[in-house]
Amino acid sequence: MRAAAVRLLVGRAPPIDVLPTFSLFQSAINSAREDPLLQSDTDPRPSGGPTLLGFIPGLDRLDFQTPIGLESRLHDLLNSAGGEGRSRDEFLTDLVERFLELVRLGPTVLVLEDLHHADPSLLAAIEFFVQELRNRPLWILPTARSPDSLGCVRYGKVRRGCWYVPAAPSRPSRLI
Amino acid sequence: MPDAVGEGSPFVGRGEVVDTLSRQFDDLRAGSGTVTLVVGETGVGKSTLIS
Repeated sequence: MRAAAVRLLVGRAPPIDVLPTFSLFQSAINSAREDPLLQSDTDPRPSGGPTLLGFIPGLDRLDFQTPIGLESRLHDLLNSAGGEGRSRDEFLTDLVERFLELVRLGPTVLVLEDLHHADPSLLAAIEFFVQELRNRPLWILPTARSPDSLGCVRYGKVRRGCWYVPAAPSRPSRLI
Repeated sequence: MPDAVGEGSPFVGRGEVVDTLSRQFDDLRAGSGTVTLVVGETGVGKSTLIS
């Protein structure tokens, strides 16, 4: 993926029974910080340290405006979930806009492992994202034990932009 | 492009799944994203398939 200048973020569930809200998203955002190949050479933040942004090889075009501070703004937004004065749809719209701001810098794969452990708010956010990904270079790639983990593939009502595939052994497998 | 692997043809093998993921990766690079849920029991190789 790196050779293809595609950013990879991986959210992993911590080994606890009940995950905090949006912890898979938080983990995915942090994953960029942990990978030296995904860090920029220069950090625009005054505090220094690695940054999520500006690390895509070959995509350092000047016409891309670097959304400085996006990483912390994403974390702030996720931490504000459930706050007063904001409806669910307003929050999800803000969340999608932040991620799409990130995606403006180039194609991004967002792997979310063990979605069956995820909190309902994160599942709702993914459902919301499905409507927004057409013509946006963001591929959300969750893993789960059952298709029931995600509403857009539950009940066999597969919506445009929402797929599921079986990670079965190398032999024919039956779906649904 | 169908909306789900197996839609209209319920039997698929891993080769078809890999082909589908490869097509979706190409779509991503062309600027179009999606959500793809990779389903399987623990240890069946979900992460390996993605890799």
